[in-house]
This record gives sequence, C-alpha cells and structure tokens, in this order.
Amino acid sequence: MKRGLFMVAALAPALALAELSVAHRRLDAGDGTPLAVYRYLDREPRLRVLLLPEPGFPRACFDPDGTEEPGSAGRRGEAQRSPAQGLAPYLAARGFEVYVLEWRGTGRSGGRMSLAGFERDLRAAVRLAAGGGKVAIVGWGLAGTLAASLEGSGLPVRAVAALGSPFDAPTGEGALGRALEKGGALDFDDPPRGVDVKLLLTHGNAIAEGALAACLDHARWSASYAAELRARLAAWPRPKLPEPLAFPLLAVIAPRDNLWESEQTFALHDAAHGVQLRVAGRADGDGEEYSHLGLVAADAAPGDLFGFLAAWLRDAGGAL
Amino acid sequence: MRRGALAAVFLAGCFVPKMYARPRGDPGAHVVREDRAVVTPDGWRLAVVRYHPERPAHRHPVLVVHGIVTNARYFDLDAKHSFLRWMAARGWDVWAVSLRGTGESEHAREASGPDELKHGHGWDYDFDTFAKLDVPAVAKEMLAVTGADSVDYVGHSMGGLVLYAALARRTLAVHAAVACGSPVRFRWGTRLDTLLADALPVVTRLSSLPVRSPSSLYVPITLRLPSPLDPLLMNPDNVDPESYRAFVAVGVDDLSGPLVRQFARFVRDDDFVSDDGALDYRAALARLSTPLLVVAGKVDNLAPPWAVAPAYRDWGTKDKQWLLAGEESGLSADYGHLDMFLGEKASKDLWPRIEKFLADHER
Repeated sequence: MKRGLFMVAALAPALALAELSVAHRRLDAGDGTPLAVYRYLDREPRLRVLLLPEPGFPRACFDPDGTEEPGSAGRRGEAQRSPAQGLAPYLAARGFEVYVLEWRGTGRSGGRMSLAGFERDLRAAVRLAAGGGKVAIVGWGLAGTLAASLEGSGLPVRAVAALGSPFDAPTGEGALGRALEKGGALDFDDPPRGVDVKLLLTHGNAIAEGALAACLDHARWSASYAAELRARLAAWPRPKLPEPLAFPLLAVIAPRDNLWESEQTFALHDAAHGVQLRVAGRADGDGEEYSHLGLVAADAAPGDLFGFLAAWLRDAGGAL
Repeated sequence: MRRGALAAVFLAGCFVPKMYARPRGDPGAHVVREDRAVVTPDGWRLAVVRYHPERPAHRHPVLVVHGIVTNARYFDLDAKHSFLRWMAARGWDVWAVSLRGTGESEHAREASGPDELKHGHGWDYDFDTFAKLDVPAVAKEMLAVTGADSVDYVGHSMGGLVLYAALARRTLAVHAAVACGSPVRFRWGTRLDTLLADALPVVTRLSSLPVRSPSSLYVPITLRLPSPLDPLLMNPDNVDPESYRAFVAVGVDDLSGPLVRQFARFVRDDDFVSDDGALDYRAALARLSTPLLVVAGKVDNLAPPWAVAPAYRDWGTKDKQWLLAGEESGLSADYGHLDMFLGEKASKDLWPRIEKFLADHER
C-alpha cells in the first residue's frame, strides 16, 4: 500500500440503504493527519467522483439523512428527513462511486484547519478516490477553488465542478469580511453576536430544517483558519491555470451567495478559456436564486442542479 | 372565441397604456415640475422633465439618464415610484431626459420616401450618439439655467454606460456620479448569451427594432401571463405587478438599428468601444477621476454583479464606492435590474444611499 494513501480499510460493513452502501475509511494526509473519507457505492458504479465540502463543514452537507456511524439506523430518523436528497446519495444512485472527504479539523478527521493542510488533504483524497484511474471532483466553496487549482498538477483528475468557489477578492467589503472582522473562531451553529449565518449561507432558499441542522451542527472555522481567510480576502492570490486546461472545469455561481460573492465565484470563469459556467438561478432557468448552502442542500437543488451536475460529470468523464 | 379573445387583447393593448400616459400624483409639496425641450446640435428635440424645489438645497443639478429600451418615465412612474420627485423633495434639482427616439422626445420615422426624412429624423443614431450629442446638450442647458459649473449624474443600466462614454469623450463635466446596474462586460455566461447569439443575426439586419407596440399588446396580460424575460428584468418579489404593468405600458421604447448593432458588437466581442473602434470606453475607465458610486443588483440577471464590478475596480480614482444592492448590504431586498427604481422599497433603502453619496460630495 502506498505511503500517504489508503491506510485503514473500511471500519464497518457497508450499510445498505436500498441499493446504496456507505463505508467510512481513514486516510493519512501524508503528514500523519488522519482524514475521514466516506464511500457511497451503488451496485454498478461506473465513474468515480470525489465530493469536497466547504472546508470546516461536515460530510452531512452532502448527505443530510446519512448515518453518522456506519451500521446505525440513520442519524435523524425518518420524521426529520429532508425532502432534498443529498448530493452524495443522489450521485451514487445514478451510477457514481462517490467519495466524500472531511477536511482536517472537521468531523471525524484529525488535525488543525489550514489552507496548506487542505492542499495535502486534497492530494491524498484524490489519489485514494482515483483508485488507479481518474476521478472527477465536485468542490463546494473554497474546496472548489483548491480542486480547480489542481489544473496542471498531474494528479489523476478527470474534471472539476466548482460550486460557489471564489477565485478573487470581493469587490466590496462583503458579508463574510464583516463576519470575520472581529476575529476568533466562527461556529456556524452558534455564531458570534452580529454574524447572521442565515444571510451568509442559506439566504432566500427553502432548506429542510433537518438538512440545515445536519450541515451546520458541526460546521466551524477555527480562529487560525478564519484569520487565514481574512488575510486572503484582503489580498487574494489568483491561481494561474494552464492553457489549454488539463481537465474540464465548471464554475457554478450562486447569485445569492453571501459567503463568496458572485463576482468572486465568476472569476473562475475568467481564469482560463474554456471554463464552463452555470448560474444557479433564474437566469439559467432555475426556480430560485441560489445561496451558498442552497447549492448543496436546498429543497429544490436535486431538481434544479443535481441532475445537471450528474449529466455534466458524465459528459466530462467521457464514455462510461 | 379565440379570435374574439385576441381582438380583446389587441384593443386592450391599444387603450390600457393610455391609462398610464401621464405620471400619476402631485409633484409633492414645494416641488415644481417643468417639462422642457432641449434641441441637440443635430436638431433632435429631447424631452426633459425637471423636478425641483423652489430653492434647491444643493449646488449641482442632477442629470438622470435611463437605460436601453426605456425612457424617463422609468424614473417617474407615479408618486410612489418616482426617484425624481423623491430627490426634489430632498432639495435636489433633478432633470431626467428621454434620449432621442424614446418617451416624449422626438422619434425617428420610417423613411417611406426621400422627402419624409428631409423633415424628420431617421434611425441613424447609436449608443455613441447619446454620449456625444444628447447628454451633453441636456447638461449644457442645465448649466445655463442653474448657473452651476458641473452636474451630478445618475444613470441606470445604459444610462451609466453613457456616463462612462461621455466622460471618456470629455463631452460632459460631472461633479459626482452614480451608475446603477451598468455592465461593462457583455458576456454574462448565462442563457442570455445563447438567446442573444440566436437573436442578434436577425435583429441587426433591421433598420429599427420595434419594442413599444409588442409591449403594449402585452400590457393587458402582464399580470396573468408572466413573460419568460421577467426573471431577467427584475426580482419578482421586489416589484409590484401593477407597477410593472404601468412600466411596460409607458416606459418601453423602440430601438434604432445602429444602436442594436453597436450593442450586438459589445456582446459579440465582449468589449465596450465606440462604433468606429477609435475609443475603448472600458480602457478609459482607468483614466476617469469623477467621484463614483457603482450599484450592482444582488440578483440582477441583466447586469449581474460580475459584469458591473469591473467599472468599479478599474475606475481611476480612490473616491469611489461599491454597493451590492441586497440584504447583505442592509437593504430590504435583493435587487434585480428594474427594481432599482421600480422596487417597492427602493425609496426607503436604495435611493437614500444614492442621495447620501451625492450629498456627501456636496460638502
């Protein structure tokens, strides 16, 4: 087994959810940091995809009804199940072999949150999920920024879809800038006074209470990571992408994103020729203008966005 | 039956717009309304509506310029939806022009023979014409009447672009300016790109693009049958349907062929240059030093923030401000394109920001 790759095999037998099974794996980031990776497997998986949450946010954002402990009967029970199916089971049910990473310092992963550390996490997770072939990546928020920056890295990436992923500083101060102004950690479940999490994350979108709680319960930015972000807002290092692109890139923009402003996320489209764009909003035929969390958890997201993403991943993945 | 319904819609389309022909409501206490005419150097008569208090409280009169396809009624629909009267009630001397071919200004006529054009004007004007001739003519009149040395400027959509072009051409002396929903990039990356790519080869062949008459026919059914264009034009949660209907009835105008063709080139090449290619308006932004407030609607699908922001970023002075018109900035709603001056609460939250910027620069 290669160093820095898959360390421990599945801890528990896969849990059967209809045709779906979920397994929890542990992975070494390469610097000794243990990472949690979840694998969602359909009976006939054909294309591998790695889902990357916004750093600091748990896997539950991609699977609000999922099990915290593989083998248990479901975390929140049927009564609180979201009408919106999470992106992870959605894709798995459509023939993808889905891997979800929890970044260092989040959920069941160890270590401390840092941008440099996330880059290590990403490389390790890509190698694991690629399984000797190539893997497509869906990165939400800053995770998409990190994933898009793998262009030219030589890693086995088939395509990257970046959902609400910033590639530039905000034009003005922005809601996030104000939220980070006071310094300290940002606990999204119990925010500091004056920080409106709803405005930052879910503004304008209907999101089932259970899905929202599952995603925000353990969502947290440490003080040191928040400080890194604050510095980045002031002087944003725009990654240089190669031309032509080594793999297809898709930027999905949420007009009501108040975490990463739409002009920040549009900047990925500008970063190189051939970056495809999808506006998650009425301009592109959706029923509502999407927020940051709405991209992955809004009640309407499966109908508006998940199907589009699945199709894009299939096209970008070539013949299955 | 179907024929009868169509006839009813047609008749309603002919008459309903007349219900909104004049702005409703009084100008407001201590506010005077004047309807003026300004003649451009090439002989076009432009209609200008001026609202002012008996004694203006500010040194600079405000020139207000509308966007493409619209006219000055956009800023003066009725007493509640009138940026002009709202500003005048706060001591400003406000002038709103209907650019040539729109509103109460002189319209082009189809040339049925050579004689007709001798006595009227054709569809031979484009975007540059507004910046070269129309807006400077109105500003000149404003300075002559008020004795001011420069004007303040508020432009919506294309009205902001006219500001950028006129400043680049040095045809206008502006003290402080506000550009609302004015994109300086023309590829939005949305379905609109495809729509325009399909439509432009057809419409650019026309001498003019009729918009007013089809819109009139649409007026009676606006409330029952939302147009697929509506989500591009506004945030439906932020605009009263009746106000929108009134706007469609009186605020929409035809486009000249050259104007359509120049915008088609903006879109095709994703640039912002004069028709002859000699002046790159976008590049000129970095050389402009007028104090500027740039307003982008948070959910503006016609001028999304990423298409508006480069004007702010490139603007050549530090005396500039950026306002993302949405709840995150403390406003009551996320603003779409038309909402900025038709929105139900615009007078409570957005207009005060505009007014404050201008007032701060009066000191």
